[in-house]
Amino acid sequence: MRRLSIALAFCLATAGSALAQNKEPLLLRDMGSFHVGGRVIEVTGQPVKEVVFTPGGVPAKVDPNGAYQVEQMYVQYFLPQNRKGKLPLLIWHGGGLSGVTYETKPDGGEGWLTMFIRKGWDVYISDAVERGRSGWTNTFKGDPVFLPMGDPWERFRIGPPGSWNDDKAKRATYAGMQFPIEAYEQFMKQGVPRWLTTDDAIVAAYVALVDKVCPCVVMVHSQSGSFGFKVAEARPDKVKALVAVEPTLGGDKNKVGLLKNTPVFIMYGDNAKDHPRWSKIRQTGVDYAGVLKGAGGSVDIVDLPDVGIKGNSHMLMMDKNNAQTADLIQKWLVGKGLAE
Amino acid sequence: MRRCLIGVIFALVMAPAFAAEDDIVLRGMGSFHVGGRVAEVSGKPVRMIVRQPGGPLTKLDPNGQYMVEQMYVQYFLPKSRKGKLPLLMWHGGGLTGVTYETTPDGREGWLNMFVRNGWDVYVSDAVERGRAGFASPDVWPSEPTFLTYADPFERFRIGDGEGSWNADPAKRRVLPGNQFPVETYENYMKQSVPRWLTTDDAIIAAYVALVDKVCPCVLLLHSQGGAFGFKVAEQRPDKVKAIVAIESATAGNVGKASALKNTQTLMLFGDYVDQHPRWSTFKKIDLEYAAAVRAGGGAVDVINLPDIGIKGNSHMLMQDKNNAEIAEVIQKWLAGKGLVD
Repeated sequence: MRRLSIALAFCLATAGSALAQNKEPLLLRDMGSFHVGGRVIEVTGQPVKEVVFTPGGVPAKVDPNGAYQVEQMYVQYFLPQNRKGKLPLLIWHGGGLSGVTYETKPDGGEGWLTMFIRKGWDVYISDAVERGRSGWTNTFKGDPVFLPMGDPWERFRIGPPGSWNDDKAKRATYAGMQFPIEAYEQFMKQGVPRWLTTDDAIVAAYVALVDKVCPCVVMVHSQSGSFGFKVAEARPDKVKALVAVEPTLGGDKNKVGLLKNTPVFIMYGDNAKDHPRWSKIRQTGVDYAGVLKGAGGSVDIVDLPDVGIKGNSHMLMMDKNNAQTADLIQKWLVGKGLAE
Repeated sequence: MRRCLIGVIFALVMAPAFAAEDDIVLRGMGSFHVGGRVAEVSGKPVRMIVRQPGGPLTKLDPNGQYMVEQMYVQYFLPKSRKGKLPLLMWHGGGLTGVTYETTPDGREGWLNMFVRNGWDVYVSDAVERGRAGFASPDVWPSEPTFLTYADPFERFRIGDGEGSWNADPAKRRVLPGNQFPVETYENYMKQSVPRWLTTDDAIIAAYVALVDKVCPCVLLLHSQGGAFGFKVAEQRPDKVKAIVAIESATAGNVGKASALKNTQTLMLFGDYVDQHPRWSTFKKIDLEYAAAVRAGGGAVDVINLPDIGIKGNSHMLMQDKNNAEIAEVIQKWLAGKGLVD
């Protein structure tokens, strides 16, 4: 009965506020991590080197010839005690980033990782091959790409093209911007290099992950949109739903028949229809969705401004209203019978 | 109010969310990046690149400002806090904070164990490792190093020295009684990340920024992280209240060791150290530093695990099959120093 009165008191205190921050303790039945996928390659014919790993340390002989582990992927999981999501929820980040995307926001606010754990989902958060804790090797083709400070500002629709300035005071944003721009430097600290030639290896490791922990719901963002659809096409029986947050690409229009039992939710933020790059990306997504629907698939597309949610950047999960967008996703998942 | 009535009914109907005995109950968890600087790159040509096959061409101007040399930190704060200070876990070379997570054979790692013991644990990836990200060759001109399968097997006292590795598992020569889960050595290799040999100053600067943000604290250091930890403690002796150094691969500056006179220190070593040419040398360097700390009025405890009957430990103690036993040795030492409620 004491528990009940606490529930009632909580109800009265927070009545009317759908966005009340839940700072209740997190009860986990387990948490942990693993690496999945990858392969072993052989290097031969290289000279042996002496390397001092630590200044003043003991030189070690390093023979670069031999077997190397490449193209594995890092996954961290959190399993809430009071499970309400019927399947594991896999959350995949976008290009030049890692799973950190979904953790604490650049401004210190709660991210989608803990929000979805609190909603009762077994969450598996990963770093794609070559990103973050997955590690990387010098076996990838081409050079990795490093983003200058101003690049995501304009490309991720914090400000319109030409709005970046090295001088903070001279930076412009879209009207009503939800991204926490005061913490933009903190966001840039989350950036990791990315290669442009590793898609096949990335998809292979995601498939290995799906084979290990699914059936599941996959939530993708930006670059991983393309990966999510490819993996769903490869494992349509295991990917039971796909939540695509501003995917940069949809799936293969010739393979839509495979996804007719995988409901898809696509979400775009503000200014996506007008931004020179995002208008094209969005149109590609909308066209793909049309083909998927035509083949009997289920796709719901939400342009956030059309439902009254304004000012969202490409980094929706870090925007100030991220609890509101998380709730929107949760509502869709509940509507599909995927959560209690 | 209708919502509330439903809530009350829900509370009556649903089995309440009791914490099971082995649940992890957190008052908070999260992550942040700390430290770093903005570097300027200039004079490079602008390129058009396709970021993914089928995607639109986008402009990439490599000139400009870059965020570099920051560090990643993830934290877990247990509801029932017993450690009096935050516990910071720093990994060794060519690795990340993953070192302390689930072991390669799927058992619980020291991160979970110390959270369960009531410590606010901060696990980090040093500058350039893992989720810390790394800088371009325009900022860091030198090449990183990558490790073969044979290297840690032979160097971290899993196998019996040089030549003990073999691609055929049946032909690998493991040190007798070794506690490392050799059957999942492949999973350990998946935890590897490249390392540069020229970034120590940047790594230390970010660790100092971390200490300034979350300490006073206890540092738990491993291998290369030991060299960093002692140097950071020399710079912030008032903030680093205790150090647990697991097979520190060199320690601090002997000339500055007296800075640690109020920092409780434990140096802990696994098995096969004294007969291993490389690890016996590291241990000698560590013990010389310990002597310098003591000469400066400080206290250093040294535990050789085989001396207290704990045998067979590799360099990756926190992943060895008896990692829970070693965590208890550390916990007991911390409690003995008054750092646990």
